[in-house]
Amino acid sequence: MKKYIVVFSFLILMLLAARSSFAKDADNLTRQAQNTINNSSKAAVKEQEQIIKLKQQGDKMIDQRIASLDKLIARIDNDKNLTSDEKTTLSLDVQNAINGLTVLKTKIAGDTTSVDLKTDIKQIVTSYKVYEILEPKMRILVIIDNLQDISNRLGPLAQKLQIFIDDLKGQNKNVSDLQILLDDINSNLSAINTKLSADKTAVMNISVNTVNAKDVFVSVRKDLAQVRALFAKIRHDIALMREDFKGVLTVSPTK
Amino acid sequence: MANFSTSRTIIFAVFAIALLIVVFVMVSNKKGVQVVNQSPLPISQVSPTVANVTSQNANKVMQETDSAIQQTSGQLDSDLNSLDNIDKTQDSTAGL
Repeated sequence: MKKYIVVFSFLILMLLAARSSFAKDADNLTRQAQNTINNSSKAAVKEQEQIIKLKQQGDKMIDQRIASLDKLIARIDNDKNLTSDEKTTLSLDVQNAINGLTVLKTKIAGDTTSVDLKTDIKQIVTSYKVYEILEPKMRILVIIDNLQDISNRLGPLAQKLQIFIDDLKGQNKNVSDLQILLDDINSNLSAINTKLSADKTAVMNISVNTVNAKDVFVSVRKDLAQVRALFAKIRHDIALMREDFKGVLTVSPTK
Repeated sequence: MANFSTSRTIIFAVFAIALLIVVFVMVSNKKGVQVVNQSPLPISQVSPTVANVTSQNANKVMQETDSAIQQTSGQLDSDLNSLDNIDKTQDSTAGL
């Protein structure tokens, strides 16, 4: 009987020990599960915070670009020299970019993960390159079109001046200085047309994928400065011609 | 009755004087034209009509040319300024 009591007590002790051990394990598991839940919850909160932040960033970037492009369209629309066709052509690329960015804005608003948002935000830059390519390209094309327009208007005016000079020549007036000045004007106009034509082709060929766009822009910018200087030279020639015309018309014919 | 007669005389006198003035002016003008016709100026000494027209036209054309360039230059400066002020760093993908 005593032997049974000892064995029974031993078993009881074993059971109690096992129970205690199981309880500890259960506690650990519960704690681990709780930690996992807590961590997941923290990550979810962090993800949500990041999503809100990224959406705000994306919205801001898109709004900024659309505002810049709107200004560009207004510049084109209000131009006094460009034809209706030129305005339509120039505005088309800008309007397409605005439409694309608007679609992207809607997509960003519907994104549910930070990964998708980061991809879309990158697209705002890489797919449109508004400041690196589109805006400089369009502004340069507007400038070139305007300069070509003025150059085209000056061509017939120079021809008229040639007719006047020829008339005076027929009256035996000394028009050699006038002719030199007009030749200079024609030469400058020719140089202007050549530069503008080449620059327009180079700029029109630029797209968001063009690698050396920056080099082209820098080169064209230099040309535009030169064209400006050539127009200033033409104005100077015109001023001199005015004086020469006055002089020639008040002097008796040369015999 | 006497007053009426006096008025008639005065009116008649005024008309007569006016008529005399008109006749005098007409005769004077006729004499002026005759002087010009008698001694016309040589064409070479008069400012040439064709040259005057040419001068005006040439001036007009040069004015048009100058104004056109001037107008474009102002716009060009503004456009070049806008071009130079584009902040290209906004298209940097660093940090995205």
